[in-house]
Amino acid sequence: MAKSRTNAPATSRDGAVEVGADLRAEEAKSRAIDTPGKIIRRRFLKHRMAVVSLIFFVLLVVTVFVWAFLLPADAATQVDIYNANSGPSRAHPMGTDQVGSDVLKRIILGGRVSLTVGLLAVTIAVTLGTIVGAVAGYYGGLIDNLLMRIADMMLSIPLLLLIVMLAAILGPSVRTIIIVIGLTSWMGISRIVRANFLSLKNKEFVEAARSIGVKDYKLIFRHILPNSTAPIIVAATLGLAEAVLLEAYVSFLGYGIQPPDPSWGNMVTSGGFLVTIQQAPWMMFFPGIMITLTVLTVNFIGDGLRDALDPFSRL
Amino acid sequence: MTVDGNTPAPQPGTDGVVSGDTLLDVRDLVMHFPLTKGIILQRKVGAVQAVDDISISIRKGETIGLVGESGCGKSTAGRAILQLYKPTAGQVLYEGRDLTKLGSNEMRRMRRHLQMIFQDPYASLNPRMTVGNIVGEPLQIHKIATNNKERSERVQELLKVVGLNPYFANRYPHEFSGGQRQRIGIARALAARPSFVVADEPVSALDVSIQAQVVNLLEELQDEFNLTYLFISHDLSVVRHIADRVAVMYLGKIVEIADRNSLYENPSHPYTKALLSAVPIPDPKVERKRERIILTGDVPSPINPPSGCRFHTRCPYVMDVCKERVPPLIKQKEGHEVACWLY
Repeated sequence: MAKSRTNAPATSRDGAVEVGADLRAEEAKSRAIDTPGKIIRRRFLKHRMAVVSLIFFVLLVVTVFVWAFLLPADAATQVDIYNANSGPSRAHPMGTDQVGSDVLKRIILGGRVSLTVGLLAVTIAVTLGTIVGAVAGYYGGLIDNLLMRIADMMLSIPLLLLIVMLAAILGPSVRTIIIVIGLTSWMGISRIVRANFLSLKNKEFVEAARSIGVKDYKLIFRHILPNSTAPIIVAATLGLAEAVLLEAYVSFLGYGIQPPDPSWGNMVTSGGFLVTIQQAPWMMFFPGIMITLTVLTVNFIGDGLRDALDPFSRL
Repeated sequence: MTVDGNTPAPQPGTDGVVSGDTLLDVRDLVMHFPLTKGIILQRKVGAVQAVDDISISIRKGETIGLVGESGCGKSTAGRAILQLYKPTAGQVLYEGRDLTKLGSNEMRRMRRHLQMIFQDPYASLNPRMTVGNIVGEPLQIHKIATNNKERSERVQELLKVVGLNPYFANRYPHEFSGGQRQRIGIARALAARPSFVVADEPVSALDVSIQAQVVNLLEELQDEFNLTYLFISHDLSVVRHIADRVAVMYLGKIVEIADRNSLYENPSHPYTKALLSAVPIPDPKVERKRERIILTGDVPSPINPPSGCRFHTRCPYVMDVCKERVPPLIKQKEGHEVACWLY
């Protein structure tokens, strides 16, 4: 059909390019080479605490795993009754425990267990929580009701009771602990993710994506999920701290890592009796410090990541 | 009922029977949103009758303006035509194929021909995606440019077409102004080379000076890519500038549809007259002499619309028949149809 326009459009397109060309070209020159990955890296590097924490955390993980690999298998359980309960010295930089085992070696070997448990359990919890929350929030209706009632059910069961029961069925081991903690701490994250999805799924950019023919799973994972990374990262870093502590409780109850095998959790527990705190404070102090440092650095890394991934940040 | 004035009405219900150059034929489209009550056992207690039985046939290459006040169902109509909402009833024939009957996979493939430009340039671009990814996504989905290099070349080309610097591809949407963002939205809509574009108030969120740029860009692109527009707007002067034919909606119904000049110079429906008289004229002499029709009352709720003609509660010329029977859309003269018992 022929167009019948009396007012010929004053050609603005080519004009617009020319008018702003100098300014834009100049602007573009400074940033044209930046890929999104580079921008994210640059922003992260500007977050000083996060960078320090990342370096520390990587060093910690590498040290723990490499050193643990070099130590003899029974390093943590060597009994030296004459040197029991001795304070930090040249031979034992972090002192010894009730049976004379070197606390430093126990921390290294226990660290391997605790970090593995913490990282893997959080990975399971975050993955599960994100998928459940995303599906519930995106589809809504019956699926949402069903999944959220399951989450409510899980939350209403006393956590330790559930863990004890699962550990009893599966038998105590590192793997059991990881699975049990992972399967019992996804509910909080799923609720956060669901709430985020509920508010995001009706945004115009989601509708725009649907209008160009994006499939459901891509809408969920490529369009909506990246917009809820901030709360997920925060929840994950807090979750790591919780997982390390939870491992301590479970080990204390006798369903986790069994002494004399060390984990930071059961080391704090075994050093936490009144008599030991008074007579050999290092037994609780050093593993406690390790847990604190791990949790703290992971939190800082999480902070830095959240800011770096936020396209609105002006860093 | 068809509103295409030149051809006899095609038989409803038969796919494939469309007039020569009709691109999109909307027949008796109904979009009701159910209102439910109860938490577990939801029962339907009513419906928001957002779009009630509209028919419109759109010819290749033309621009249809769809005007009406806020909440009259014009955006819903656009979305229901594109199957972003599942219509309650009716047919949408695109080149003879009924879109309402397509499966979700078929519809997804079909979407490359039918695109949309959104109202809010701030909400319609994903803040976590770069401009390159936003504009390149339709290319990827519809397998138009599958490898990265080819895609980024196409994206740069598209950005140039809409008047943006091609180097902007690595930037995020929030770094742009409203007008630039709307250009990005237009580039995305054009990426898959569609033939039909629904523009849902594409300029109402922009400054007046930018509005002109974007409207002119839309017109240029129409000529360049042979596009057909459904231009939804409440801004009558913008519609007058861009549209070939104009449909006026009131409370879910089309009350008048006519060629642009015919509608603006000789509006027939009392509602259209009231709408046009509300447009200010930038000449105080004319403005003072002009008769203003001021409607009283509010738009009735689409949950419980008035019987008969939906406009009868506010119409200055209301008659008894208006309260009882729904006026059909009748041809008043060539290219001018109106739904009013006055004619």
